[in-house]
Amino acid sequence: MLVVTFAGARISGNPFDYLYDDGLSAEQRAELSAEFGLDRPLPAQFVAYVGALATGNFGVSIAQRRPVLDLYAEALPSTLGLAAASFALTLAVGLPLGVLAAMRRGRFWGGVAMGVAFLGYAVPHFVLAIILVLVFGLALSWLPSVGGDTPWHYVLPAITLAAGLVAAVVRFLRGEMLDVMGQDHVRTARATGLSPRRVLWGHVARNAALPVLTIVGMQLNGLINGSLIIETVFALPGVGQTFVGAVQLRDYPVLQFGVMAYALVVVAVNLGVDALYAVADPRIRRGAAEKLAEA
Amino acid sequence: MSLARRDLMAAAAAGTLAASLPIPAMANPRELRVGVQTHTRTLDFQAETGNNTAQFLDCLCDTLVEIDTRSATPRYMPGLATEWRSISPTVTEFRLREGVRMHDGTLMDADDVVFSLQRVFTPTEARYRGNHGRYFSNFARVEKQDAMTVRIVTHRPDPLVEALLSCRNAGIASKEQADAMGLDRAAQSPAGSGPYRVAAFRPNADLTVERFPDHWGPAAPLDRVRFTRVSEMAPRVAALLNGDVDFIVSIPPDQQAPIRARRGLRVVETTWPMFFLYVLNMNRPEIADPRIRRALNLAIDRNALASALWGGKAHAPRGHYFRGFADHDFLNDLNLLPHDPAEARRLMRAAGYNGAEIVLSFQSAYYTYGDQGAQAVLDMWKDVGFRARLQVIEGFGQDSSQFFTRDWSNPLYYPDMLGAFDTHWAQASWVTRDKWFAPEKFPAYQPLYDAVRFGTDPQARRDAYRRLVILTETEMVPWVLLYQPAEAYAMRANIGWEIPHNVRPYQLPFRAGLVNVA
Repeated sequence: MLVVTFAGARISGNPFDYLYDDGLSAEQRAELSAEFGLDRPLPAQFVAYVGALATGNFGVSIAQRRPVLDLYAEALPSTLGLAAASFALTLAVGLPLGVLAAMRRGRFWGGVAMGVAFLGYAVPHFVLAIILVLVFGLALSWLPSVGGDTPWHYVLPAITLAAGLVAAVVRFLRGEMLDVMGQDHVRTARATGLSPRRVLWGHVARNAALPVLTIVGMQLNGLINGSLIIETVFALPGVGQTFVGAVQLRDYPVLQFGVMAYALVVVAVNLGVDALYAVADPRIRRGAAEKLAEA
Repeated sequence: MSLARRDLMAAAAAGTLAASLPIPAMANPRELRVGVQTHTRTLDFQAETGNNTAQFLDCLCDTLVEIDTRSATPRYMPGLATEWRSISPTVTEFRLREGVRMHDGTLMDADDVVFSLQRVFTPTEARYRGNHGRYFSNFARVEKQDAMTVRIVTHRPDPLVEALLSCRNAGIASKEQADAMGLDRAAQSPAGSGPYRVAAFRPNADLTVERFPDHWGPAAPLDRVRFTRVSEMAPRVAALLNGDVDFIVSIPPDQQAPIRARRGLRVVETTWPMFFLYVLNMNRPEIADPRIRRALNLAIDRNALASALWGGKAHAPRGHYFRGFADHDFLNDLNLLPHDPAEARRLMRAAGYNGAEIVLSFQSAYYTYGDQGAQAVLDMWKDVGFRARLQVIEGFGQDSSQFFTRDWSNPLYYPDMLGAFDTHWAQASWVTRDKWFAPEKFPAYQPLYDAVRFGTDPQARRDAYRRLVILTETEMVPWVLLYQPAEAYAMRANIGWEIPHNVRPYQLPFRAGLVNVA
């Protein structure tokens, strides 16, 4: 990952080609390259980079001449706030709608639930964002449309981000529930006289939830790493803008940190999902315990 | 009544109701919230060259010489210098104002002036070379005479010393602060002496300035001003209509209707003394012949561009001069940029144009209507027989010689007839450095330029500039001027603010006497 990111950043271009509107003379370019250590051979640059990482030094932004950590630390609260709001909304809306879509399959409310899912997939983020701004910000003045000073500022961005995620949760949950509902153990549960509610929550939903956990985990990765479109439209300067800005300017240290951090987030979230699997599925817990006992 | 018609009427009623609703009241009339389209990476007075940073500098710094922004005729006044006198043709002595407190609590003295200006007079760091080339290539050094006296030395006698030192890029910053925290950290929160100081700064996103209580001049009229970047148009307009911000910038003509329709808001418009243009690479073989470059200009219907893109609110240029700028009034009879496709074709034949492809390179979504303008220009070029295509690029890179064109702007940086030309086309600018602009091929150019730039007789300067404008437009042809763009600001109706005189385009002045909130 380190090697790929390091090499990929340098292949993408030279930061001094993008940072100075009036360009640079050859002498100025050489001067700046020396200042940021970019005049050394690539292997030497890589060794220096890894050595710095080992001491917790993530480098200095070439564009802003500030520690990389400072840039991301400033951006993180907006992104985390938005991620938390979107995630909560996704679960609060997606899960019930998914259950409704499965339980009312072929009927009106099932169709409504799937219609919501379809819209979430079909409408691009930026279109939905602008529509929400125009309706709730411009026409109705119900909600603030830019900035992040209060929790209310996160409502429209969270709805925008959550729309596609809700769609995914609804679709997958419906599919899994329909699959589980057709299995023998559910038929048996009904045959033993359990109430429909107990069958649903005790036998169907629990089994259908596992794949949905994976989907939700994947979505959480994306939320934490920021959404450029949402941040731009709603003026919420978060991690997405920081990272994409670094890509545009070829700001190597910021870019490299962003990729590494993204990878770590993916690993951490996947580990968390795996741990939740063990909590949700006793078979996994039993299997792990048996393996441990054998060892 | 059908469902569709009922819904439309409900929507219309809601829209009408919304238009009649007042804007939510300002939370605090002493605190202004401004939605800006672009923002800045740093606040270094001498390093930043762009229009994006120019928005903020007037709040933060002062200059040795100030310019009267209430007078249409440029008038220079004491600023951080109380008096100045010419010691010799190349030396001007400035007596500094006593008791000027900087934002870091220190008192301004000659060391601050030397620190601030010397780094851009003789830049040793790349970050200062841009403004050196734009303003200060004729400035040699600052000499400290005593704690409150400096002498500024130019290479040649310079009639524009006052004008250039009144630009905010000559703003004075605290040397003590830079020594204590280093240039990089100081650039994030520079200690100037302006009526506002930095309260919080998030680069490229948000800047809050607060009244500086120890300002030497009239107190700032506002407690705080917050500049928030809202780069997308619709949210920026919605933020104003919603009451999330009080003042927004850069509203194209076709987006102003909902603002004008809303009670409690108003729009302030201007046509800037600046051009959007394409620089032509005079050394690119396909367009090296000036007749080809002239044909590229004559093919363009600028009135159509100004009308179609800007609703008629932009000006179609007729040469490198600004209609509406008093110092250029003597040029108003010139029309050097007619739309003349027949003449364009004749020039192409005379030059032996062989169908070589011309690539119009530009940065997408950088200048207002830049994308649409490029598409229109491309069609106009093709109409006269050029083979051409568009190329969207991120940056012009190290080897700019490969490009035919680049998009650019030429604002009037200081109120002088040469205020837009010199800052962009001088010898120290990138166009000459990168050999896009080749004045050495035209022997008449340099004497004319020198006569305007360094001449002291007003009539002689005007005569020389007139000849320079004609020479550049008809014989040298280093550019394609597109239009003088319109700019509009929208704000609450209780905000008293007009575009001041003699300020650089896009500067946002919120000093005493320039803004009030009823």
